[in-house]
Amino acid sequence: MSEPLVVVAKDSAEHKRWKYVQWLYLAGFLVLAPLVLEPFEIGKMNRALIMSVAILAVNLVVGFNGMLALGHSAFMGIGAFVTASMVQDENWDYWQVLPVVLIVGFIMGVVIGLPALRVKGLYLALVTIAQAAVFPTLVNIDELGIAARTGGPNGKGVSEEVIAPGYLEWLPGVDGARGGSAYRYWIIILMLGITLLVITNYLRSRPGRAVLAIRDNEAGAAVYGVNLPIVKTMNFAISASLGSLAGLMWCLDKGFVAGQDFTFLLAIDLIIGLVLGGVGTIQGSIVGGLFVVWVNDLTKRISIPLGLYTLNGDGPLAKAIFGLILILFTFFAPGGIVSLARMVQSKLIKVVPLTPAGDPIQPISSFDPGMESKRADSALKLAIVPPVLLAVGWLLMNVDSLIVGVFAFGLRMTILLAPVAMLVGSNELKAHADGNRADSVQGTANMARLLGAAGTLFVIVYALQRFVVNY
Amino acid sequence: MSDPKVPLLEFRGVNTHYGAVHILKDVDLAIYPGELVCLLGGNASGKSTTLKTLLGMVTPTTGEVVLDGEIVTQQSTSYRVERGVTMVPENRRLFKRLSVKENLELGAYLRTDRDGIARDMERIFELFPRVKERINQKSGTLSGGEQQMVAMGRALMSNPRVLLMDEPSMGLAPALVQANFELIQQIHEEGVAIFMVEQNANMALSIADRGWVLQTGKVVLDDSAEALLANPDLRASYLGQSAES
Repeated sequence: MSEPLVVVAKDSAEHKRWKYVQWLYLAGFLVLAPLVLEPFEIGKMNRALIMSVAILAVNLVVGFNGMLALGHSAFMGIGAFVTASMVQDENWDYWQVLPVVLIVGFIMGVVIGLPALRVKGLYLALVTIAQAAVFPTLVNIDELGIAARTGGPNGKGVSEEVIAPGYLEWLPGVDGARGGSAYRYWIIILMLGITLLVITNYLRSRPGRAVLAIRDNEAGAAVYGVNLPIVKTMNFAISASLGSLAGLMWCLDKGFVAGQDFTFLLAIDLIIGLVLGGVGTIQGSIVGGLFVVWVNDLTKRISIPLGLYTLNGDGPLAKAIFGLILILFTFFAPGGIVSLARMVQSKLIKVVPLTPAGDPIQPISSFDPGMESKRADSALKLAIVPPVLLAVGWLLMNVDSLIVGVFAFGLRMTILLAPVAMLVGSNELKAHADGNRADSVQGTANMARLLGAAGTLFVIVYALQRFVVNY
Repeated sequence: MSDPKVPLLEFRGVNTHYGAVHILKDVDLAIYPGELVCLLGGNASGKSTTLKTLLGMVTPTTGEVVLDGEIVTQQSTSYRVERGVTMVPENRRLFKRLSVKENLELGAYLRTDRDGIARDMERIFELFPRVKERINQKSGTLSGGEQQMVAMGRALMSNPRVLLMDEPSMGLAPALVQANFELIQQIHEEGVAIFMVEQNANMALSIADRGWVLQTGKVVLDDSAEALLANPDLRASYLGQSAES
């Protein structure tokens, strides 16, 4: 598969179709998730997406502005405590607290950012580490009514439950026993969506460009009139504001906040998610959040009988395995999961840019009419291999329930690759109809399309079945 | 158009220090509208400090920087950029992860006249057709010569009256250096005053109107380009030729 399966011109109808499929994937995955997941898994999803928002906040400073700031757990904490206090003590609604949290976060960002951004590199890292380290102790201060507001060492619970109002009960899965977490999932998804929209536009705006320019070349940016301290501080404040929003979401999801939730360990998790997801990419933040929560959880469940035991029921080697995974990732995906995904994607689909005149920079099809094409064959493999894995996994699973892994892997591969096989198949048929492929391609391409469609159908049916089982 | 007899950019008795180290010593310079002047000097002669002081990245200990009759010694870089000074930095310093178009747009960061920006963008495409071809490419993937074009285009996007150039031929292949100086001349012919700091004295003086020679922070020679080219001392020390040849 050295040759990409599909070559499309940028912004052509075909390219748009591919982009459309990608977004449909992502949206379908996110929308279907609460329907097919167990309640505790939905809880994990919520936690992961909240981490994604926080990682996006860190990314804004570290990835997009090139400043090494590590203390965003403190901003999350501020957001969470302001929310808990306003909702519990003042009987505010979460929606009413939202603007307050954003403004408080912004102001804290300016207050901390103004002096902190005068120092650079490792020194800024040090200042922000101090910020993260000192925050959990600050909430325990028994003066000025702080401890009363934050609950001090005991933490603060919010008694108001987040459940769906009557007019939203048509949303799938928001009523009944699992209603709470699914409803919170929808709220979190909505907030995440709006956040992504705002941040993408911010980065495309004039101040956003200045932020990126500073990252690429500070002196260069200054020469064209970018006011470095103002742009940096504003960006830091926006990032802090976003971190506080993640804190609000945390409080909304858990209904309980405590100082020990927002220690430096959380800040480290944010950095891990940032680096593994992909520094300086929006998608990387989301992937990073999912990774930190799910892989952490996975490693805790792995239990290797070595005579080691922990009191909390986690696998004794959880941290070691997690560390090993981190090391492997830095070796095999140094640019983060997003860059790895881009590499894999480039093996499947190649997008050829256009010159300003509208011609592709290189020919879309390197095939002479009548020449052999291997692409249909590759597509057929994509359509066949994952379902076979799936079937083998299913058989093995019945033999020994420990080998669920093969099944799960086959399932994920099918979800991922069946639609690709289908699209490549139909693509090849279209090329054949245009006279760009030999007749021999036809049969294989047809088969790839058919099997790909069958795989896609299977995935949809499987999701539906999970949905029915859950309700 | 400003009065051709009033200097666009001027140093009046500028002294700068980095800590205890005295860099520029009583430097007087004047760049008039539409001129192409160059500043020559060996390593550590204070060339870069001169540029930084002109742009406000270094504040002089004594003396004044004057921009079109206005004393701007204490003003910020962005204030000066807004009033028509900008620089093509040493080694081009593009925003490598941004596209060529985004780089050009950042050149116009302080401008708000959308029509003017679009017009200048077209002007740059006429000047550098290659830039137009590469417009959507990440600037870090361009060749050295193309990067130089983008850097110059980006500087022109701020619609400057004076363009400062820090070692424009540094890091370019020998074949490109000649082409690069032709580009500089082309920009100059559009009416932009150019102040160029350069090690390649021969080439720089061949297109310049006037030149200064800086030695350990002092202006030691100040003459027309022809006179400097003919100056035996300069030939010996900077042009790589013996005085006799």
